[in-house]
Amino acid sequence: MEEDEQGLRRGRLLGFRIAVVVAFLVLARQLFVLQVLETDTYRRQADDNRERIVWALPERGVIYDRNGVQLVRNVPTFTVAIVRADLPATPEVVYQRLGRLLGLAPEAIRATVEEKGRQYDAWTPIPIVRNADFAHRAFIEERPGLFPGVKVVDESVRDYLDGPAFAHVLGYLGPMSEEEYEERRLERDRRYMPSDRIGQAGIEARFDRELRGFPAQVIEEVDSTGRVRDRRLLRPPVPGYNVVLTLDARLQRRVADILAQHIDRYGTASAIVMEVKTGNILAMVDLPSYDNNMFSRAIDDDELAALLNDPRRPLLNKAVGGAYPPGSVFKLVTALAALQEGIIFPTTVINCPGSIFIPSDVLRGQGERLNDWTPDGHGDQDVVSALANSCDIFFYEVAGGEPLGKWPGLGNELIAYYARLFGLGAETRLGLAGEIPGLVPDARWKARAIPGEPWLKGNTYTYGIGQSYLQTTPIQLLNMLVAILNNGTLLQPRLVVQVRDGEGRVIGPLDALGRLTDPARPQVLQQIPIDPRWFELVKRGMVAGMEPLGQTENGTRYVGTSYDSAVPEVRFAGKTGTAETGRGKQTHGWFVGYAPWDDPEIAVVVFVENGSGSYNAAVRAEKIVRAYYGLPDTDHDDTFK
Amino acid sequence: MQPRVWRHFDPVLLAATLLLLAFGTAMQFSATGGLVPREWPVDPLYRQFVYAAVGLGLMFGVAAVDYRVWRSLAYPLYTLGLVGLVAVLFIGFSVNGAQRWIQLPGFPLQPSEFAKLLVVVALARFLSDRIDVELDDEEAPTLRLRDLLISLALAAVPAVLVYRQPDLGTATIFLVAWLGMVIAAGARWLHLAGLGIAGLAVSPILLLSTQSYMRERIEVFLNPRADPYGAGYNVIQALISVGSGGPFGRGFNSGTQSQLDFLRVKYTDFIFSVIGEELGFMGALLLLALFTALLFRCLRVAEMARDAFGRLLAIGIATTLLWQTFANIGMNISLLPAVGVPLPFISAGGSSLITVLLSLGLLQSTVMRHRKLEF
Repeated sequence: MEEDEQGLRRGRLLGFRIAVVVAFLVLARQLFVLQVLETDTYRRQADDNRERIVWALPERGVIYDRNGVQLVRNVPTFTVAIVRADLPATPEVVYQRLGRLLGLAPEAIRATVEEKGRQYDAWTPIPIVRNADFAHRAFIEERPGLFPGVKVVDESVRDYLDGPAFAHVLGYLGPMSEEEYEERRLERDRRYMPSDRIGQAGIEARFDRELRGFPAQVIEEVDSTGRVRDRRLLRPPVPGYNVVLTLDARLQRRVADILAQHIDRYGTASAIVMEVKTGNILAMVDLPSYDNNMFSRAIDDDELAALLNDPRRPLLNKAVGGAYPPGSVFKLVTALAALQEGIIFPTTVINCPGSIFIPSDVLRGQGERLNDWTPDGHGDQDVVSALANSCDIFFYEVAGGEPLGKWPGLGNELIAYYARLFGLGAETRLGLAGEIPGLVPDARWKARAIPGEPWLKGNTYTYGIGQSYLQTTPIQLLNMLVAILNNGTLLQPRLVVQVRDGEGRVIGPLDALGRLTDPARPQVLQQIPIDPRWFELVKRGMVAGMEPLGQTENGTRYVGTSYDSAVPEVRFAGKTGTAETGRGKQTHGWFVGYAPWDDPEIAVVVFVENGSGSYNAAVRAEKIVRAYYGLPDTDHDDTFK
Repeated sequence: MQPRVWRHFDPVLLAATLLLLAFGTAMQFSATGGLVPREWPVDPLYRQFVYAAVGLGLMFGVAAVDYRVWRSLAYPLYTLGLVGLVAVLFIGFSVNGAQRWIQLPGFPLQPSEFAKLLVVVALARFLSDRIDVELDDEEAPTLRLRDLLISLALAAVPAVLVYRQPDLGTATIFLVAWLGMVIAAGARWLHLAGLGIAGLAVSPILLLSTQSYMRERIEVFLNPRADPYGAGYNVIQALISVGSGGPFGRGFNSGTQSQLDFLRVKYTDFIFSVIGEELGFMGALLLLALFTALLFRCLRVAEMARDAFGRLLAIGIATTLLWQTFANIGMNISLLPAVGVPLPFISAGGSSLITVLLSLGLLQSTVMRHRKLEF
């Protein structure tokens, strides 16, 4: 071994040089692998780090009435949100600062973030406060260091131009539930993000997918605190489609005003106006209503609680979601069924003595006495006068048969059969959320629904006048009337004329076969197999209902139940209904009417809870028809009735 | 002052020093945000300028003084170093859980950085004494086992103190410097192998007593993806930074990882990742070339020094620099666990930079006086 004069080994010194070279070669080799061989992988990871694909909500489509009146517009606002991925390791500081700024408890913010965090990925902003002030936005954005993970998102809220009058039709937007999002996620519907607000009622809910549009995809370059340094548009947004309604905004407001009169006395009131030839709905109002704009503001819990706790259920559109016994309005169906089944003929005359005794089939000498609405009775009645007088005895016997069995009645099954032909007992599929089918009962139904109590003979009798568990919604009764006016052609009631895309092209609504529907032509559901002659006869009954005094070809006399509400200028006709509610003497008032009687153009249904058909419902229908035809309002009123 | 000794001043070593310093300053500029408005004197970049200027001044100052002065002062200085290390355990302040600094008026002092140099000086003194006094000049120098163990103790005491801060990285530097120096001083391979086996035997105990942060670092090293947003975050981000740099880099001041702050601790332990990202493989090779030049120049000093003290000093300093460079770059590219060792010249930090420049001043002093007689 070579020696060194100071006693150090030269060989070992060389070893140090070798060590330097070897150590650096090891480093260089690893650097070569990372930076030359595998650089693409790391480059992609670096891009993933700084680039985020975010979804920018498109402008939601708006809603027009049939004349192009815009019923809702979008108002830009700011939403303060939290992006979990950008929160510091101890987010409490951020929650506290944000809470102090927005006037929220830090725990509430944490709770929101933790609750929603399960649903959202770490990069999706979780909304904390919507409709934030501009001052809040400025404060947060000028101090990104103080608010890591806090993002101010541009959003827009809905401004409904006429709150309560349109609320039930238009609906409102609200946050999506976890289940609702999951459902859409499973359908791979890329239009929805968990933070989105979706239509909760009305057209907003029914046409949510159309109104929503497709979100834009934006690439954001962010730094490690989530601050956006740059944006690039990856895919432009597709704005939401616009929806054109069949409604006439002017008429809608008038109908709302008419229903509002004395509303406090009657609980709730609903009215619908429909074009007879197309099934298009011109107005649909249900009172009491609510201001759907309150859901666009930061929601006030007291206000919401008041709505939810109101026994009149203002949030529910009872024009489609409220079912009540139709009472005498149903006599139209009973009459048609009896004529078609040969139970009665146009010449059939039945005497109305004011009450009849229905002997029990089981117990000799026992039975039930059924009264007409007037104890004096109507004397001899044919089908036309019975409709005009709204004679109960006539329809009891038509439904249940001659009390002593001299001739048979329709029976519960046939009544139910015809009721269903007219669309009763089923949703009209108008497309508004909250619609219910009502109930068309029969003996089988009762056996199932009310165990231990069979279908009684009396049930069949009262079925004929629209009682006996029968429940219908206003829209069903109106559609039934329109089918009668069209001689048995049952139409699909419609609220939407067109769905238009951003360029104005008409792309909807589509019928069941996926074809574009023509708003000018009716959508026929079915032809009801009843002889047109019987429809004409029933319509004469409704015309006679508007006459103060009259006599039929068979010599029977009548006093029209709604003669107070006649509008001879437009040849208004209709049928009243005053249904027993089962709560003592309390009744519900119905009226279905149309004009003009020789060539019907519009049909209207009015429902007044806790009211009567001839007084409260008919007068409102009259006012609506007058409003439609631009006639001066009637001076007759139900103020003292 | 003897002006003629400057004839042997090593200009290549100085050039390598200045180039590395310039490299480091440029990367500090980039890592602290590039052309952002900077506020004198609190901006870290300005602080780094000041440390470099002070360090260069001290380097020339030390070069002017005969290095043998330090031989006689070796043990008092060593004691001072230990006092500093003990003091930091009591009056030091912590950053990120490690208590490494003492706050002095105007700047924080990291005693462990200076202790590296002081331990090397003490070991050079001790080992050169044993070689000079106890060995027959005719024979190859050999270090006795007893002296080997005493020298180990000299290195181990500060290593344990530093380990307690906790600072595993710096603790390893003492031991590696010791290893390099005893090899150069002629330790028997048999002794070293025996110590190695003994070390392996006690390593399980050591591992069990390891502080949790170190265990975590080692677990992260073995499997960084286990906790990508927690403990493994920066190790992964460093790899992404270096790898995404590619052959030629993303451009100075343009690395997305560094400039958008995905990479953390980028001024200090992970500054190499900024170099890798912004300057690429070529930039990294340039840096390695500069370090190679520097280290070869340091080893030249070891070769030329007139006495064993000077040679051991040069070996100790070269070993320290080599290990720091290797360990730092190695942890940036996942070859080694992230134990926390600054990259000489480049990482921000006054104590580290000044210590490195002092060491190089010492080497210049040694090489300047390698002739026994100077005319």
